[in-house]
Amino acid sequence: MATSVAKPYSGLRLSEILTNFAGVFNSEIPASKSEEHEEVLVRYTHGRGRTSSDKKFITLKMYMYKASGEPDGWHEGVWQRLFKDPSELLKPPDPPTPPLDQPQGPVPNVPPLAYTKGIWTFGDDSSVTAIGPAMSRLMPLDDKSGLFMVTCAQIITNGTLKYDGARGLKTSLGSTWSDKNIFTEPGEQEFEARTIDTFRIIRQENHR
Amino acid sequence: MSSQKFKGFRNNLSDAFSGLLPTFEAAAADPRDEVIVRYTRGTGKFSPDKKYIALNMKMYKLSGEEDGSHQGVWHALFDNPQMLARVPEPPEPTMDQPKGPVPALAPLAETKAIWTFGDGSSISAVGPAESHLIQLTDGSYVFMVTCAQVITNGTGRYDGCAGLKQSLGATHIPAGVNLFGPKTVSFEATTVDTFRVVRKRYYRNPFSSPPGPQPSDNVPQGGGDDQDDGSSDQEGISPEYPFKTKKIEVRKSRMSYIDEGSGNPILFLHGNPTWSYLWRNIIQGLTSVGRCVAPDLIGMGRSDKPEIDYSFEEHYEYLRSFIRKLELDRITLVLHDWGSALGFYWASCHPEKVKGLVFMEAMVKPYPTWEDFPARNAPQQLRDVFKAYRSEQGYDLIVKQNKFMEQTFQLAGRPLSRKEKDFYQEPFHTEHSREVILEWARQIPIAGDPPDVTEKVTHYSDFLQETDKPKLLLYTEPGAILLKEQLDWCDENLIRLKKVNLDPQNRQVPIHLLQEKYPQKIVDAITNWYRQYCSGAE
Repeated sequence: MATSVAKPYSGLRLSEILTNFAGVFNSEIPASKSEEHEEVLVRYTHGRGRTSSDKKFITLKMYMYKASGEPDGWHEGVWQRLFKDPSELLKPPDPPTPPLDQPQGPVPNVPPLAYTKGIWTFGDDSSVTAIGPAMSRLMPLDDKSGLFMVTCAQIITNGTLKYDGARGLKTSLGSTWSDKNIFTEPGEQEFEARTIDTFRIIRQENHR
Repeated sequence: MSSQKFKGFRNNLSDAFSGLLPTFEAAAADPRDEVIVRYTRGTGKFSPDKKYIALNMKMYKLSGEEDGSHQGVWHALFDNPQMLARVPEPPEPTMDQPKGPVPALAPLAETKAIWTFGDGSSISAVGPAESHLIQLTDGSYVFMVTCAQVITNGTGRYDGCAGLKQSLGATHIPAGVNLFGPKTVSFEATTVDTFRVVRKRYYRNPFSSPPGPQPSDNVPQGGGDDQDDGSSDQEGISPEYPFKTKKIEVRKSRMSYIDEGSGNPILFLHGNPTWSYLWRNIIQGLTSVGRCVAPDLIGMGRSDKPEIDYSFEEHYEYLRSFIRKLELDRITLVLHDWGSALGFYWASCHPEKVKGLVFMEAMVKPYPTWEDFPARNAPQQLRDVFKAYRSEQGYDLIVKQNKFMEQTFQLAGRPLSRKEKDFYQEPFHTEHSREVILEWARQIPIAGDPPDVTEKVTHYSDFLQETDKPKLLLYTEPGAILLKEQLDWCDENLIRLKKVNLDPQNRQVPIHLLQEKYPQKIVDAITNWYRQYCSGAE
């Protein structure tokens, strides 16, 4: 016999729409909270990235913003590559095969191409630290320039101040444009970068 | 209200508000980098062996407007569900250098999914995931999943696209329900999904024949479906800061500066609360005229922020050392706001090194009383604001609430784009970093306070009235701090002065950041004046 903990779903209620509007202005997405104590935050960051001279590591030093553009602290992090040849970043995996609506395989095994660690310090000096695997891609553009993108699936390891003892997960989706291949240019390479970061956080007082 | 009518009402409401919502345009690295944010809600279902979860979700824009559906499958890579409760050790703290160690955290799941938007276009993606199970104080659980996914293909407007995406989902499991027990469980779930997509027409697929750009295609704005909030498409105005800046050690700190072009130096000095970004569209037009040098004042822009008191005197000493270290000579100074006070004072102390003076929205003399600030016919409201800045409220207003920056944005003569605002705010993200802005507001020489600044401004004001160095005053009417009273004073007291009204149409809105509104006119005016008055002048 199946157990259901799901209510029949009929779309958002009016009050939810209004609550969500208010939240999005503050860079939160209340409509995507699974539970009242869960915080769902979205921030974007803008700053500089730098490769190591052997191109195995990248560090980011970023300023963080709410969706409204209001500054909200900073972000630093390190990306460590797991691939040997940057040309691996050019080819996407094969499309998945159906079914996508049933709890069954096959699900392609796509190994991560990088490991990451990072800290996000909000405007009130509270911070969360997280680590996790990442995928990366190089995308050549029509004018011979290109975009280098990174997407991370991260688990929050610790936090400070209001996030001291907090738990949760986060994602980071970054991008940088360049008219050269940062992996083939000699020496350390600096570049402008932007990320969009989403957090699901449960503070210490709300979990066991 | 019937459900159909309610749905229509709900979507109309969402439409009405959606234009007001903030966008993520500023998260795009390039106009071809389309950033899309959606959230989904629906149900998830476990397979009997608990190895798979399938999601069937409705998708929404942030406005709450429905925008298609999402389906996907999660496949567990762990044997013991207790793995989901683990919290890895925090990483070693070095985050600001490109080096390890970076913890190796293996994925706990793999995923595949499709997101079908309201117009029928779709994106498919696969990738690794982390999962986490958190027990709440009431005994219930939140089960979370985060995915790092590669876009494999698309349909409709996303046919042939490339990119990455992320998905961050959660479901609440009531106390007493065993998600991983023997029974088949379905549950309510929600996700936030973010996409970075490069459409086919911009993507040069290295594994197929290049499609090439389609001339009729409109380049999507970063942020994809979101509204344009700026007007930086005006001729000659770019939000980009395309310079490879240099750094020089000055008084044990590093000052960042632009150094472009060749010839006699043209030294650009910004004011408060800006940085060399202010000059980006001017410098690009003047590199053929001279060597364009634009420092970020200490504590501002990309210069260091040493623990100093950021008085006028301190700023001046850093600037003086900066000019000396670069061995600049035969300088044409281009000055704005507090940069004018610093530049005028430096010129008054080193007239032999000056070829000419260009200034706009400048401080040409002290303000003997509050009624003179910034001019007798200025709005009282402006005085009240600055009185508040210089009172005990100032810290709250400028440092905590960032009001000075917001007020400055209103004086650009046009709505600045998100990207431009981001650049301007880049150096001032923390409260501590905004203390320099507060100090500048408190250094304005009004009614004899502060006395040392009043003395220095008086000194250079006298110099300006005596020197025969060629001068160019760029202005609009009304200005924000250089109003008709000062214009008349300049007319009456300065010799070899050329004035250029950048907008002879009598505007009603005061403009302080003239560089944001009239970059090409400023370039043209400086070029013409320089060639007429400064070329060959030693």
